[in-house]
Amino acid sequence: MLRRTIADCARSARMNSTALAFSRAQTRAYDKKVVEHFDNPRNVGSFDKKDMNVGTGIVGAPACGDVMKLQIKIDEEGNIVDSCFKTFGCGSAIASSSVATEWIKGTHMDEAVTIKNQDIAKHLNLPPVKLHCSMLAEDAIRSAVADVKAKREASAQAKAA
Amino acid sequence: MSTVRAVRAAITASRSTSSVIAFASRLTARASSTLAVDACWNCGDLSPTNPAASSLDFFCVACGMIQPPLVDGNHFKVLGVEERFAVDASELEDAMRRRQKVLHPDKFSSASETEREHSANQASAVNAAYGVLRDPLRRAKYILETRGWGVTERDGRETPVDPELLMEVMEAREDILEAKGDAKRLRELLSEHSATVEKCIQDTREVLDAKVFDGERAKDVVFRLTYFVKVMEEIKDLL
Repeated sequence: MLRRTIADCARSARMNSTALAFSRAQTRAYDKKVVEHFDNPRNVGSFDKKDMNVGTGIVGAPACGDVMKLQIKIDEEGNIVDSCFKTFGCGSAIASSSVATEWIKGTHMDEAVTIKNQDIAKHLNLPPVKLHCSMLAEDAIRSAVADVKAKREASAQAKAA
Repeated sequence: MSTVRAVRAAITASRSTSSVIAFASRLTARASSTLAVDACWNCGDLSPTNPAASSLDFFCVACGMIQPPLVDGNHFKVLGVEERFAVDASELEDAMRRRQKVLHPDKFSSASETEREHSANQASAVNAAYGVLRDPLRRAKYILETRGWGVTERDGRETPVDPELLMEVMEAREDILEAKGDAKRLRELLSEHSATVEKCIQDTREVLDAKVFDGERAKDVVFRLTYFVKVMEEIKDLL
C-alpha cells in the first residue's frame, strides 16, 4: 500500500513539476507543496520518549545547524500507529519530516525504513541544494525504528535474564 | 589554471631573448612543485609570485604590473595573515585595508583594461577572504576545509552527530519557541546562549590552534559552534 501511495505521489509530483517549471524558474524558491507543509505541518508534537512503544530518532545537519526529531508509536506487531515530529530548520526540512510522518503512519516499521529520501525529494520537488533535507527525514525514520527495536530487545533480554 | 596564461607567457618568452629551454624547464619545475610560479602577463617574467610575503608580490617584481589573483589563493595568504583561528578582528581589518590600499580599482582608473580587470579581481578576492575570516564560524569552517575536514551536507549521515548535542539543541530551540513574544525571557536566553557560544569559540580555538591537529575533535567543536550560533540567530530574529 505504501509503495502505491508513493508511486501516486511521485506521479502527481511529476505532473506538477512540468506545470510549475516555468513559474518556479522565475521566482519560486520553494515548491508549493513545501510551502503547504510549512504553513500547515502535519503531526507536529512529541511522545514520551521513555515509553516502551515509542521510538525516537533525532538527527541533525551540521552544515546548516538544522535539527529534526521524528517519533513513532508502534503496536505489538510493530505497526506504526502514530508518528510525530519536531523540526527546527528550513522549510524543506520541515516539509520533509511532515511528509515522512504522514507516509509512515499505518505501515509496518520494516516497511517504513524502505522509504528513500529520493521519494520525499521527488514528492516535494526539492531542488538539488535541498536534497539533504530529505536525507535527514530518511535518517530520522531509520533511527526512530532502530531506537524502538533496541528498546524491545533490551527488555526481552531483561525478561529472559 | 593557466593554460592560457602559460601560452601567453610562452609567446612573450619566445619573443624576448630568454631561452626557450629555460622556460620549458621552469614549466616542468612548476608542475612538480607546489610553489606557485607564474609568468607575468605583461613582461613574461617567471619570478615566483607569492602573495603571502608582502603586498608587493601582487605585482610583478620585474615590471611592477598588477597580477591576476592566484586561482586557489588561500584566504589567509591573500590577506597576508598567519593561518590560525585566534586572529583578532583588528588584525584582519588592518590587513584588508593594507591590501585594498594598493589593489583597489580606484588606483587603476586610468590604467589599461587588463590592469583594471586584475585589480577588480584582486580586490574582490581580498573582500571575499575578509568576509570569511572576520566571522568566527565561517573562519572555523574554512580552516577545517583547508585541512581536508570540511563540513559537508553528508555529515550527520555517514558520521552521525552526537545525539546529546542534538538533544541539547532541541531543548534550546523549544525554549526559544516558548519564549516567543516574551522579550524579557528572550533576552535571558540570549545571554545564556551567548555564554555557550563564547565557550564554543574558546574550545574551537584550542582545538584548531593546537600543535597537533585532531580532525575528528575539530569537527565536533565546529558542529557545536554551528548549532549554537544558529540558536543565537533564532533568538535575535524574535527580539
